[in-house]
Amino acid sequence: MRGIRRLWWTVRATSRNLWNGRVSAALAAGSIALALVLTTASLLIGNQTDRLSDHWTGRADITVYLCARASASPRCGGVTTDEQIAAHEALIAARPEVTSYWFENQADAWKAFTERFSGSSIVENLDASALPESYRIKLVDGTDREAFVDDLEEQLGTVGGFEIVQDQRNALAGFFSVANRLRTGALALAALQAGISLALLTHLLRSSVTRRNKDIRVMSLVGTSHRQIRAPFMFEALVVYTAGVALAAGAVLGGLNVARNMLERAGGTDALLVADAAALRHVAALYLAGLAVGWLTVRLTLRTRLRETN
Amino acid sequence: MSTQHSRTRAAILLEGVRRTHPGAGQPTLDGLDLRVDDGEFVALTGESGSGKSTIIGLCSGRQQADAGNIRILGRDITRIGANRRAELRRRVATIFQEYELLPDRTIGENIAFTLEINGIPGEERRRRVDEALELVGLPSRREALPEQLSGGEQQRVAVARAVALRPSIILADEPTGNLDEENGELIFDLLSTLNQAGTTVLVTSHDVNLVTRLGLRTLRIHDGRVRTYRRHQAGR
Repeated sequence: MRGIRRLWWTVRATSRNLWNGRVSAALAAGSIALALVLTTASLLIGNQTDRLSDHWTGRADITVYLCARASASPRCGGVTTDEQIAAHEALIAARPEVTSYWFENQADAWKAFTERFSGSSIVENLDASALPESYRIKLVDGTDREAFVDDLEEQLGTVGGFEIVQDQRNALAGFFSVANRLRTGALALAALQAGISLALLTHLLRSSVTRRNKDIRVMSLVGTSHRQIRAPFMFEALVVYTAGVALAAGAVLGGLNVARNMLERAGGTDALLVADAAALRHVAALYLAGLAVGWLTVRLTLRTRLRETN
Repeated sequence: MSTQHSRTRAAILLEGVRRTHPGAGQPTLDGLDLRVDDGEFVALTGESGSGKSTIIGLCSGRQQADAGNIRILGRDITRIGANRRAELRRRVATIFQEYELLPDRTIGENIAFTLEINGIPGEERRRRVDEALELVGLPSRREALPEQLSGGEQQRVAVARAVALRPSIILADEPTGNLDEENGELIFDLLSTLNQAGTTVLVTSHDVNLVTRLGLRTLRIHDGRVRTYRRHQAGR
């Protein structure tokens, strides 16, 4: 019963603190929300990049496109034969840099193509036979890709029946370059915002402690434990931080929803868009990390003051 | 002195206590022995800087001794941590010269505040606030703010706050330091009333005449030790 009464006192003291410092509390919550939105956005850009990269490259580093009906390359004199395909496989499998490889037939290529260009008129004007079959190759980390592509092209040239050996990274170089710049920029901004929001949270707590300096002294003098003195400040930080996280979660989910609607209106698919669950996972992880930092901030801020009041 | 008190339990016992304030060359207290028995009312006098307030600080756990032993209500508090200090202060109330009231809360709230944070339930809290205000003669000022009260009245509120917690010991550090003679006597009367009800009281005062008139057991602190002991006859 005494515990419940103390908890009730803590809740009332927290409410009083928050009301008295409502402007600082609102600013701190807003700043925390902004920092979390930027941090989550930067993490989501990373997720989105990986997701698109996986989709477009089929999780492969190198693709060997074989000759199809519509191939215009001078290397192709017609559709690749079964013998050529077998010879290609033998050459690829013999390379020590290759960790894995798989064959994508026309049906699989068509499926991926129609997903990627769903709703586009290009799908209506083609069929599966126009798409090249391919070998998808995954390399050992650190492999010199350029040298590998040159060597493999030379080897496959002895067999013929292939259009191009393509380094997927080069194929998506423009996309990765923009995505990486975006990610780095967002992370830098997020780190700055996180620093500012932490400083704001600390300032909020310090102001609150200074405003209630006399209360703390009197509480200490009449036998209130340090834990009980700290409790309202802990609650205050918890409430402000939770409000910031709730705002951030709403903003991130709202942003994803807007992106989804824009994709739908443009006739595209949102299947490649990062899921809400991924966003919420990031927000939850940041919330837990922030709670730990907030708890530490309160303890450090109050430690000196409690030592002074003794 | 020890023979005189041997049959009674010591509420406050300091043995060979030395305390040097940070940055000070000389110790404020040096080998100080002091015993206050259960239910006693003892006054500490001495010049400014003689160490009276240091003794109160040591007994309330606000300061720690460099050497010697301190026992309060039979428990060793020589080296005391934050949790045990909090526990001690629920049984040993301290009254200060500066009152230490919360300026933005009413008199009633100031008294109730200490009860509330110590988990005293609402009905009991209201009853104790009423009793404490009645005792100090301020039942009508319950809704006033501290700034609306005179110094004497504020000190009476500080006494009421201490009393409401029903402590075993009251330590009062120059409680009349900011008050005129009439209000000073009033505070000492209140402390006497509490003492007669069984509370042990240790008070510091620079006003030798006042403690002389009240006939208190008086210890004079000089050069960091108890130099003289007198029991005055009440002169009023």
